[in-house]
Amino acid sequence: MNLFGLSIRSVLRKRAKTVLLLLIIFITSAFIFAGWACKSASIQTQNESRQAIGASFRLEENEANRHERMGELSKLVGEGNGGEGGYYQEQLASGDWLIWTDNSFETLLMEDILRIAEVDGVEEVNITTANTVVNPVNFERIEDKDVDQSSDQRGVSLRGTLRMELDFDVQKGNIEVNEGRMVTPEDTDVCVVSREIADLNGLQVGDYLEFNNWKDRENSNVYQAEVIGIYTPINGITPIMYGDSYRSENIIFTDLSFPEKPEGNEGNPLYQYATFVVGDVNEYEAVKERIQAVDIGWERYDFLDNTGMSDTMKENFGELEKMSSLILILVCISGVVIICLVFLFWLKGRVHEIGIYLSLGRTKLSIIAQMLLEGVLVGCAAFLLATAASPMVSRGIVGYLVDCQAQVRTEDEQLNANMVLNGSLEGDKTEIVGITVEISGDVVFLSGVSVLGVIMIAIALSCISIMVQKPKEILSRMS
Amino acid sequence: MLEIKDVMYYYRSQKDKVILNHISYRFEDGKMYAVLGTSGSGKTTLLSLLAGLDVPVEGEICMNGVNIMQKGLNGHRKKNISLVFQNYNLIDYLTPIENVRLGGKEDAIGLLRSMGLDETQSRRNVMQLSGGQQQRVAIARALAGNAPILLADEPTGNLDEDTANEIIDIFSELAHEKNKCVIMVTHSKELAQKADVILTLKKGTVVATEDTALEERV
Repeated sequence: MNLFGLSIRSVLRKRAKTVLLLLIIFITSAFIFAGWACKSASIQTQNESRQAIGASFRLEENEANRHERMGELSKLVGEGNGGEGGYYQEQLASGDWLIWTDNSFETLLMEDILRIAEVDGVEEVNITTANTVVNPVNFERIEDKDVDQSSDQRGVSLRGTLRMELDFDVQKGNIEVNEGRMVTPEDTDVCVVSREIADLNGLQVGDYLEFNNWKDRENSNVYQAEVIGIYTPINGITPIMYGDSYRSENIIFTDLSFPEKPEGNEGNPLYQYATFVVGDVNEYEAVKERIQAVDIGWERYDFLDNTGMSDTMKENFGELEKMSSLILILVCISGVVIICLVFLFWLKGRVHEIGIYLSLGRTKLSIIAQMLLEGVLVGCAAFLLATAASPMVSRGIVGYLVDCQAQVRTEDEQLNANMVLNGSLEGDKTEIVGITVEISGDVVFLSGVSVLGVIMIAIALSCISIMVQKPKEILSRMS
Repeated sequence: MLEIKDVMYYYRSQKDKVILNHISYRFEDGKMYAVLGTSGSGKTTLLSLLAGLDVPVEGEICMNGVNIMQKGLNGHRKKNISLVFQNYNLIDYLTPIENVRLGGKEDAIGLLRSMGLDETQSRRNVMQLSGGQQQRVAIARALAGNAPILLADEPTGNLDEDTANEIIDIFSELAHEKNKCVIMVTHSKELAQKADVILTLKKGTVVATEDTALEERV
C-alpha cells in the first residue's frame, strides 16, 4: 500500500483526530488569510472638506506614504544630524531628535499633475498651495483681542491658487468674491482678501499688500501683491489649525507662485491639492479610469472622486500594514506551536503504529512523510473552507483593526485638541465609509504557501522525537 | 541462514549490566526455534538484534554470511525479517486485508483464508476481530513479505491454550513446509517443546540448546 493510500485511510478513518486538526488548521488559515488580505485592503474614507467637488477629481498627499518616505530617508541619513530629499534631522542637547521636512518633500509633484492634466477628458486643472503663514507688513490682520497671541505666529495665511474659481471653498460656496475678480493662471503677485481685512485696513481693489517671513519680520525680503478682489465669507473657511493666523478672515488668496516668496522658499513651492475638472459629466467614470492608468508614483497620493471617496492606491491607514504583518507573524508562530503540540500529542498515541511500521522495514523518513501527507491532506480541506470563509473573516478582522486605529486617532485628536496650534480641527474629521478586502489570487497563493509552511514546520518539528529514537526504543515504548 | 557471532550487548548507560554476553549461534532455514528464559535473560534483546531493530555493542549478525549492517537495517527488516508480536500490533485504522498488504505484495485474501479468516472477516475493521483472529492476521502479514526469517515475540501470550496451540502449529508448518526459519521467544516450556530446537538463555548467555527433533528421532 502506498503512502497516499495509508494517509488517506488514516485521515478518513480516524475522524476525531481529523476533525480536530481540520478545525485548528481552519482557524489558523482564516487568520493567515486575514493577515494577507489586510495587507491589500483599501479603506475608503470620507472627509467633510473633501465633499462636493463636483465633476472633478482631487489629488493630495497620502499620509501613509509620507511616513514611509520619512522612514526611508531617515535610514539614508543614518544616526547623525543631516538631511536627504527634503527630510532633516537634528539631535538636540536633550538627546531628543528634531525632525522636519521642507516643501520639496511635502509637495505634490508638478510633473505628475501635468501628466494627469493631459488625460483625455480632463478640461481644467486647479492647483492649491498649502496655507502659508506670513507676516503682514503694511496692514493689520483680524485678531481676537481676548486671546493670548504669544504662541501664534501673528501672521496671515496665504493660499496660492491657479484658478480661484475652482478653489474648494469657492465651489462649495463658503466664500463669495463680490468685489473685483478672482485669481486666474495669468496673474502674478496678486491677492484676494476677506471683507473683514479690507474693512479693517480700508483696502480697495488696486491697493498693494506687503508680506515677509514671519520668522524674520525685520530683515526678510518684503513682497508686494496687488489686491484684485475682496471676498465675503458665507459659511466661512474651516481653519486647518488653531490660532488667529489660520482663522477664516485671515486667509488671503494669491496666485500660485506667490506664497513661497515671502515664506523665503522661492522656487520651492508646496502644492497641497490638485483638482481636475471633467468636461463631460457622462464621461466621469471613464476619465477616472484613464487617470488611474497614468503611470505615476500613485503610492504617493490619495485620489478622490466627487463623492469624497478615496480610491487610494495604498491604504489610508499606515499602521494597517504593520498590524497585518504582526498578525501574520503571530498567527504563523502560534499555528506552528499549536499544530506542533497537537501532533506531539498524537505521536504519543501513534507510537504503536510507528513501531509496527518500523518492524515492517519502513524508514523513519517514510513514516514522517506519511504524517506530513496526512497534515497536508487535512490542511487542503481546511484551506478550502478557510478560502470560502475568508472574505467574511478578513473583512471582520480588517474592520476591527481599522476601528482600533480610528479609536486611537480619536484619542490622539482629543489630546491634541488642548494644544494650541498643533491640533487639527474637528470640522476636518476623516470618516471611514467603507472597507474593501479583496481576496485576490495573490492573497490565496500567499495564504496557501503560508499555511503549507506552517503545517510542514509544525509536523517536522513534532517528528523530531521519532527521528532521535531508536526503533527498539519505540518498540519497547509500544509494548 | 541467520548467524550471530560473538554478540555482546549492554545499555550504554549501564555498562556493568551485560544483557547478552558473547553469544554465538547459527539459525538454519526450515527449522523452528524456541528461545526460553526468565525475564531479563536477554530474550527480547536477542530478538531485537536479529530483527535489526538495534545493533550489538560487539560482534556481528550475519544473513547468509553478510553482516546485516552492510545493507542497512531497514533493508534487512524489509527483505529478510517478519515480526509477530504478543499484542498482534495491527494498524487499527486498516482492515485485515490492508494490514496484510503492508507486509508485502502476496495475495492478501488467499493468505488470510489460509489462516482461517473468511472474506467478510477480512474486510472488517481489524479491531473487531478476536485476539486469535488478530494474531492470524499478524502472521498473514508476516508471511506476505515472503521473508525467510520469522521472529515471534511471545506470540501466544494473549491467547487461550487451544488458539495458542493452533498458532504454534502454523509456525511449525511454516518452518517445515515453507522452509522458513522461525524463531520464537516464549515463557512456555510446553509450547517450546513443539520447536525443533530450544535455546535457553540465562543472564545473557546460552546455557543450553536442546534439539527436540533429534530426540524424537532417537
